[in-house]
Amino acid sequence: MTNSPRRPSSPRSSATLAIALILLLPAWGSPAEKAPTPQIGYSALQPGKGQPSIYVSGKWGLLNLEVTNPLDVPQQFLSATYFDGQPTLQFGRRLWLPARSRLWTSQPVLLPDLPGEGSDRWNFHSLVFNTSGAEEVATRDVQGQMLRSGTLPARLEAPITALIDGRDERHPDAERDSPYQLVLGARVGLQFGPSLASIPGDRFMPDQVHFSVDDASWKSLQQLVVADNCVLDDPAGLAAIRRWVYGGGRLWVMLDRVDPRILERILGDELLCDVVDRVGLTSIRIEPTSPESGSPPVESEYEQPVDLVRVVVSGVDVPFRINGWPAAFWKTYGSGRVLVTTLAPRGWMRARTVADPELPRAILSLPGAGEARRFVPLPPMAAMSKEFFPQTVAPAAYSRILEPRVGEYIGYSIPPRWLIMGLLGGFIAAVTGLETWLLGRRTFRSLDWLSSALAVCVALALLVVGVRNRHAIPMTAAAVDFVEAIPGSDDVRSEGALALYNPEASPSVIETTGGGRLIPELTGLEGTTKRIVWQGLDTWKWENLSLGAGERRGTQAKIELLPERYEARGTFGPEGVLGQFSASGVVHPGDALIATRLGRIGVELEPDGAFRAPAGNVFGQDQYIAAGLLSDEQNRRRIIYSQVLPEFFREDSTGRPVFFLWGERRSGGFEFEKERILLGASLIAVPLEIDRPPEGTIVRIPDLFLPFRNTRQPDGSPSSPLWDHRRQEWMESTRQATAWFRFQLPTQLLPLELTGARIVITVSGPVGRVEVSALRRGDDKQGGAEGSRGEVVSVKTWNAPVGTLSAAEITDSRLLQLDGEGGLVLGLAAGEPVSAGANGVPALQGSRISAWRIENLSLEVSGTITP
Amino acid sequence: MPTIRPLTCLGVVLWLLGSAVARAEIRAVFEADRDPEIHVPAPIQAHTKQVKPLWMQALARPESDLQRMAADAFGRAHRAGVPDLQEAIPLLITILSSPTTHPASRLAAAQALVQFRAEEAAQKLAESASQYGADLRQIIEPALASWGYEPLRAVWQARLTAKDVHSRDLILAIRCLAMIGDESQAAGLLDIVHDRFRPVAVRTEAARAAGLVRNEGLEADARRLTEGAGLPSLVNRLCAARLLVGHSGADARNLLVSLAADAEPAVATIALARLFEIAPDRALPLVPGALESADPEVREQGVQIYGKSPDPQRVSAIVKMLDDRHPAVRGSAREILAVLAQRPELDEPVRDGATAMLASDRWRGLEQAALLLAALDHKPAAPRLVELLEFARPEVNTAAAWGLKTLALPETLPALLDKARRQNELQRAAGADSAGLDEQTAHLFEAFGKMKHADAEPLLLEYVPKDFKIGEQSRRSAIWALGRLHEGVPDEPLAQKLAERLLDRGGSGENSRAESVRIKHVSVIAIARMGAVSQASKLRGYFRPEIPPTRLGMSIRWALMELTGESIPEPDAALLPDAGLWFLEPIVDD
Repeated sequence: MTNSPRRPSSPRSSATLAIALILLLPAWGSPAEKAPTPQIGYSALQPGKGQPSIYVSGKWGLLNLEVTNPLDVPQQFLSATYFDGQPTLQFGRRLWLPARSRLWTSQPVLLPDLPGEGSDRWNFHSLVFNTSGAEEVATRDVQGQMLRSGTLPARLEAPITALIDGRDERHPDAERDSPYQLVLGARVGLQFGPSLASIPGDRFMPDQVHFSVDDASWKSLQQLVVADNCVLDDPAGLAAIRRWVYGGGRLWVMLDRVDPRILERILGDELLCDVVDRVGLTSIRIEPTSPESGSPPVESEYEQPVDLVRVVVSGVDVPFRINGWPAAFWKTYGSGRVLVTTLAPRGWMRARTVADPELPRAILSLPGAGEARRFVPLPPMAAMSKEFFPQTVAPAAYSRILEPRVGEYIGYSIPPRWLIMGLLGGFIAAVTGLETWLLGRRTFRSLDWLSSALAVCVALALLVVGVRNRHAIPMTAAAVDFVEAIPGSDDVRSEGALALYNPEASPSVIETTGGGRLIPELTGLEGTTKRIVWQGLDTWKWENLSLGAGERRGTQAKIELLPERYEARGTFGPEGVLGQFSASGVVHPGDALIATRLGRIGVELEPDGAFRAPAGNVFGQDQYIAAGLLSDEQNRRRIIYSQVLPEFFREDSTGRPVFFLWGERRSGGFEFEKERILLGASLIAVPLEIDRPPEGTIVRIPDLFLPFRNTRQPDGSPSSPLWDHRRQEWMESTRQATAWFRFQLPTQLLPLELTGARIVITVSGPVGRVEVSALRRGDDKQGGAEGSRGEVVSVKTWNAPVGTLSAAEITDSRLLQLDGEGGLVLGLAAGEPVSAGANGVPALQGSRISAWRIENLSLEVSGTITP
Repeated sequence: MPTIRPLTCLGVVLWLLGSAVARAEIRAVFEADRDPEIHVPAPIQAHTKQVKPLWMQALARPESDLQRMAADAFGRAHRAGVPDLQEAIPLLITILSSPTTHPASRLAAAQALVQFRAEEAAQKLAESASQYGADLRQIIEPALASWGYEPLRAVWQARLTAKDVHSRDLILAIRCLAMIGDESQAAGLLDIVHDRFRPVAVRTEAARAAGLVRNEGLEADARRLTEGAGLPSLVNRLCAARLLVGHSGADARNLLVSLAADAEPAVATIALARLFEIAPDRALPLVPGALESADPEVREQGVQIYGKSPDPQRVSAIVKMLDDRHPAVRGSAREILAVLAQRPELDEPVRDGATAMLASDRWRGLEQAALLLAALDHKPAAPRLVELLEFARPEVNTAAAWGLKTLALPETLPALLDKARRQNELQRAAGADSAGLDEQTAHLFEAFGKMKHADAEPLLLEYVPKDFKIGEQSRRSAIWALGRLHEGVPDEPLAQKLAERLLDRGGSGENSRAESVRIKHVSVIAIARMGAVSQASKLRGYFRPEIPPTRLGMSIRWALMELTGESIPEPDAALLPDAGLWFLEPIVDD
């Protein structure tokens, strides 16, 4: 970012300046040169104070400012900044400075589209007004210019990765053990550019970070690597990182470099990890924990030891181990993921040799390529990099889902068709009748003025109808938002759609002290200057915004810290799930359900926050509300559920059950005109924490709490690919297929003795025959997840089944033995053997083989909690 | 390389401190770096007093960003040593407690109050921790625990048994109870340790806390964790070891012996460390196994235990560890042997063992044995060290060169000179990039200076002119050695050449690069050593008007005092500028 106050203006920018001045100056109502202008220093900087400057089209970024007050008294300023080509949408900042002082601060700006193809920067212009006195006075820079201009460089390459690393030059292995080298090497290994945003910057406060708490300004960043403790001094920054991760960011914490408290503060209750000790290794064997880890074992020898932090941790995915200890682990958090490496960077990479393939020319030609090509990630790191540096996935757009529904709350409608048609039809009939009548009287001269008079009457009638209609609805703001409690923290994230209705055009009030964004649709308002002006953290207001008469849609999003955490805790009992929820401030909670990726169950709420979800309340495929006859509101909620839930579980792959409930529209902290009526509803999602019931409790566990995936058949052969666990989809088949599935019981309930199971299967197509089998295990129950030794026992067989089959019940507890990790294994054989032709090729029946598919497999189990 | 990582292990340092003869770590240092000792005043970070009123104003403003930044600045500045900032505490308390404060400002205010150790704000901090969320508790509660703030004790105690407590709050309570040493909660902690349905990190944290608050009586719990059918889980064994970290009774010793033999190094290390403290004799039978462990921490523990109860046989075992794969382990073995050699009855076994290692061809052991024997001034090692000058590994040939320099035996000088000449040819032909070439040559040169070997002077003189292709350390050591060779006897042409090194600020063409500051430093020292008073004016004129508190400046000051006998006051420490350090700063008139 550079300031260029003296650069020659292009004709276009001169025109823009003229427009801006014309539009801006009347807004403050005072001539620019009225008072002796103070020599206020104002410039945009790069980098800012400990905050990365990342600018991407269509996203919010931070404009870092240095403002100087040379006067002997405190001063207040207002800056208004706009970009070339968009002079009427401005981003303001109100500032206060003590006497004779210099302040470094920042303000959010929404970057427009780049000016043209091949362009890699935006030109911006700022006007700075001294607002200390009764009048606002435009200030000039030292060259006497009122307009202060500069450029912001665009980050064109994706994904964008930032690294927090205090480079320790005193460290003997500072270079060879550098997080910078590792991250760079991992990036270019995936053909991404050799560019990192380094934090903290070198220019100011070199050991300090001050992250913005403006969540919208984080969305440009895809990955953040933490390799230095300086972030620990910025607790608000750590909270901002947590929110960013939950919203889809990828965070990599190098635990060999940083204090484990960083992880604790970011992930809160969601990650419980205890550092046992730290050891320097000279021989390292990085072993994958499963074939899905994506890399073979790698052995390396080192003269200088490589640090490994030994940790005990639960609830994470460990892809690689060293001597039995996690070398790295993944934690899924909302839509984001956290990678924690416990092995120092040097253990994950090696120096590039001549035998290594050279980087593509496109990368070698970029700045930083020389540094990036020095080291090569070892296969385990290369495998993890593929997950850490993903292609950009569009985040869930809840506001778009909710937008069609929000207008229904306004109640505003255009005049009914019959009325318009009646008036117009009446007009035509009247004119025709008049013409006929005059034709009979042969006095056509009167037709002109009589027709005109009739037309005026009809137009007046339409006008009256329109005005009455518009004024029948008061000034209204309706919002429907989706609110997610961020697990392990006191934060909630909300995103929604908004509809503002104005009977008449008037200046609109939209402001907040709680952060977030509320952006009304601005189409059609290009001719008027409006600005969003910040004054402190999360405090902003729209100024000079007039939305006109009628309805105007918009979007809102924010993350807020709640004084009392939204929580839902439940446990299992003889009837199903029962528990307690707490969501203070939610008015008229209702239409609740608990959902997982597998299904939903209706929840009955009590006024004191208690709830129960009997196993009989499990919803069918298209059911979302536990009511026979739905009201308009419930129907709206049903539609929203059906659209939001798939999107939610597309992003949240933790498998954790989630408690959903509806309430009246929450106060999101956005303020409007006092007379504006607020309507709408909020859908709230709270992670359901499962508690262990007391010993001896009889429990009934509905199918949605029993995720399953393919496992090997008892004879060791792989199962037929009937079920795609990742996509949660059944696959079509034309052949006889046998698959065994491992159903995972909630670990909180273990140890558990199962006493019964009920299996319901739905099929489509000519499947021919379906058989369910179970495993009668021996005494060895420590077989782990794959420990499936035992005798195969047929439970039930259906011949030529159609649709939903009669339930299969298992009551023999010997068939319900769990493995060491709480898994129940069941087998499913389906389809008829395809008869072979003479040459061994399956004989075709007619022209094609008919396909069949398992449409649904539902397992419900019951049992007793054991000591 | 013979340079051993400093502080290879805290245990070794403590062990050495506790030994009869405290001694410095054996390191292959260069004389040019330490002879003479030049004291350079550490630079001081400047802090203008004018920031405080500005920050106070910002703190009092309603804008939340100013509050956050000002609170943060106060906390950081206080930690950085800026004095007299406590005036901000009342305002920080106001920001902390106000219900309208932005969460980011509140966090910054809390952090600043903790950094101020504002115990007068303890009550407000405690109230805020309970009202304003988990993030705040993570900052406040550990501080209150370290201040011994009693009213929160009951809160932490209640969390141990509360049903719906959040895991992070529970861990916080466990840590805080451990910090205040609340022994009364040991039972609650033990319940958590034994609760196998708890997250493992909570259990291990509780075990650590229980072990800290109770120094006795946890043996039964430790035994319960390690007994049962089959191998107890790692978490159980880890918890058991942690429970016993403060115990010293007979039963605890038995359990620790059992845990010290654990196959998992993380468990064994804890138990061995405790046994080392309370009953090294009980750990002795475990040491042979420990020394064979794949884990360097366990091997190092074994070395320390043997070092604590040494006999000739154990010395022999430690000597073997000089060849350990891990530099920290072999470094510990070397340091321990150096101390043991101070005992008359062990001197010979140490020297014999090290000599035997020196006769081997194992490079790691050779390096350590060379360092050790030279440090012990074991002159019989010299012939082997001369042989090792030709060893392929740079770690070994450099250690041999350092050892011969340290032993300083005149009869080795011809061999040293021969080697130095060949090294010189190598440097001239291919530069000093080969591993260890520069360092080994430098040690050889310093040996000539130390033993005043005049035959080496022509070779040393070749290293005076500026030449960036040859090793800088070699040049530094050569100049240092020339100073020693001519000590007290000025050689004017040489002094003139050395003064030129000082004055070389680069020129044009190939000479554009200025002489290295490190070369300038040794040149100044050599001029002073030889007493070349004629060069004093050049030295005096190098820095005008005042000698700066830099290494070169302090070298010139030392040299001038040596040459002229005058007393030059030590300059004040350098002030690091504070402009740009903070979010809000005064405008300073130039």
